[in-house]
Amino acid sequence: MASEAIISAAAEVPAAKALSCPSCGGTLSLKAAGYTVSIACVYCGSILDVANDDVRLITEYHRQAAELEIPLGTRGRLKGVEWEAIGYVERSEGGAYPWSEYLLFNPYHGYRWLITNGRGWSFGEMLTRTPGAGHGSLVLDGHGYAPFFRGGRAQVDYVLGEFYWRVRVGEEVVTDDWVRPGFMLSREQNAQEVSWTVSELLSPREIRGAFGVRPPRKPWPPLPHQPSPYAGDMKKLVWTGVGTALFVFLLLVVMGSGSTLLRGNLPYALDGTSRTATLGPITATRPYQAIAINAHVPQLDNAWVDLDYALVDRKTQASYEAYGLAERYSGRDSDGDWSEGSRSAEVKLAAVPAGTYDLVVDYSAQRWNSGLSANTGFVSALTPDQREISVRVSSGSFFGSNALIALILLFLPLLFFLHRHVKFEQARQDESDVGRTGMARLFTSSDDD
Amino acid sequence: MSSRFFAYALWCLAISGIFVASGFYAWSPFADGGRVGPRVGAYGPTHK
Amino acid sequence: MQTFACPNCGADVSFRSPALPVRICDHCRSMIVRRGDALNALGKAAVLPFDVSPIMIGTRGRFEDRPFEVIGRVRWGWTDGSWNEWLLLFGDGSNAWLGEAMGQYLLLREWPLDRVQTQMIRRLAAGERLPAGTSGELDGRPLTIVDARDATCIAAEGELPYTAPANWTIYSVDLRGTDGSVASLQRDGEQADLYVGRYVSLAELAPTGLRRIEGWQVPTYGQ
Repeated sequence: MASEAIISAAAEVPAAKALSCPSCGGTLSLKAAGYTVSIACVYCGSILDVANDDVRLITEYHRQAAELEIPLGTRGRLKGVEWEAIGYVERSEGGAYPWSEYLLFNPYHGYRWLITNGRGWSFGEMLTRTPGAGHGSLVLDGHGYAPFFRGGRAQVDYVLGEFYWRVRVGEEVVTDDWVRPGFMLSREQNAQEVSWTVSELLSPREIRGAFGVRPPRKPWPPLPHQPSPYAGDMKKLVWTGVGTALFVFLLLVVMGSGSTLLRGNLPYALDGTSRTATLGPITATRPYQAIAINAHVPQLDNAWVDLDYALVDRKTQASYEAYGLAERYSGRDSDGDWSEGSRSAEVKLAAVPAGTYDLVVDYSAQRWNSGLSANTGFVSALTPDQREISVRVSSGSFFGSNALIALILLFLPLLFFLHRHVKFEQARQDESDVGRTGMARLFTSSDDD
Repeated sequence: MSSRFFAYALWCLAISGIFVASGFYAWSPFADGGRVGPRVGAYGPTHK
Repeated sequence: MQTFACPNCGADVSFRSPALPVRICDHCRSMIVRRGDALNALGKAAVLPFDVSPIMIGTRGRFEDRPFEVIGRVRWGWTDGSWNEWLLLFGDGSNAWLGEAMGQYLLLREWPLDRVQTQMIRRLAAGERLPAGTSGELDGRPLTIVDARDATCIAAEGELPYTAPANWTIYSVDLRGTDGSVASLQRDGEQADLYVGRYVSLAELAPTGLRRIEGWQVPTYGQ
């Protein structure tokens, strides 16, 4: 290798070139020498042409340069690379919706953009390829982008610093934007060319860490490409909820109904007389249990059975009482056969302590005497003494009602988050030229369209 | 891990804890036990 | 590599590529043309204006797994700016151009123009001037003219496939595809050359021996 190459490889070249503004005489430091085409003097605002060796004055101004949120020459580290802010452009849509763009430069990494509308900051890179067309959207690197802004006209209102093209205040381009959560894809078109930029929304922490600016933490309405804070961990939340619900359900299935403690039969007649029977002993062994009493009346039809239970502790005489009713009716009308009610009645007593119990049942059974259904009342075909109520007493620990309450409570926050997510998406999409899509549209009621 | 996820996981833990405790005491706000008032209304089907 | 004495100043000048006919003396900036073993100095090349390009003569890298070394450069200017074209010499003796403009890079190889059927490119080669936005197709890929302008050689250094005198003006057309592919047609009078390639990133070339620029950290690409 030639020796000069070794020498020049070891030497550092300066990063900037000094030149003086032909309008105000101020000394300017050209940061992207070789790339920069025009400069707006940071002292007087005059626009200079440095495309060729000489410095030519294009537009003369005598005005105080704007105070920038990020003064030109500031360096900051974004996405692992150090960048220097070398140019600044203020743009708007015919004076409305103003936003600012900083041109960032690193000689080894080229140019990037830092874009802000005051509510958030995005880090943009010009694309060297064109996004593909998807289903009503655009596709770039496998990600779909939904349309957001259409046919905007962006004009340049103010420039400061250096640029790799010929800047001109008043210059207008047609813009279209597409978004996906966290990213925006922008198309700019002028008479000569079309350029595409993809920009990533920076978190307030990233932009503060890089350039010391503090955007609002929760801009409202949200930015076009701001991801819903409820979408990010929604999957995890749902899985946590579903997992817990499965656990609750499993406990209910495994431990909801326990062993049978007693079976007994109670004779009855459909005559309305009160009878009393005592079934026992019932031994409850766990510290606390639920006691389920199931009464089944096999031949019951167009009649009801009232059951008053008292579960009485043999030792303490403490009594746990409940009321059950089995009733069943059927008949025939113009719509055909009908039936309602149930031949079984289950009651469940809560928090019964360990002990030995007797079940005292006061019961009566009666026929429902309605002329309409007289023809079906032939339970009487059986002799009264054949009629029996079979009673089963069993223990358990979990109540289905408790599980139901638990499930409701588990999913209530998810519904709340879903509601907030939809509100966020609606507010975000209401800013667009396209209107609501997806969930934001699904949950749009016709009156607030 | 977001604070929202943390809070919700805590919520799920609390709910399932209360459910387990309700099983231990075999307690339910909707149990049929205890005193039940007299039955109000008529017997018979509601079918029309 | 062959080394000769500069016919103008006597300093050592080396040819890394055996095929390239032109070399600009690093010492006196004479443009040296060789024919066999005979060297002739053909005037002087202009001094390169200062820039902060990270590439320099001697930078090495890889493109699609083939190592290259930067051996020459031409700087072109037009009314609205200027750009560098770096000449890359590959291990097999072939060469390619690494275009550098607006902080972006293009890697282009010469494409046989006589085999191109595309109407748009044939018309350009034949001497027509077509406006930006004109579309055509090359080798199955769509290409659109994004820029067509007169470009002037500002300066040059190192080894070159042709003499590049200052103020030499050519008609230069840039074409872009949708997938990052690019083409460039350069026409000088009757002579037209076509170059075809694609956008590349500096990182993908994994260059070493980059120029060190004061106050900036030179990236290391996994070596």
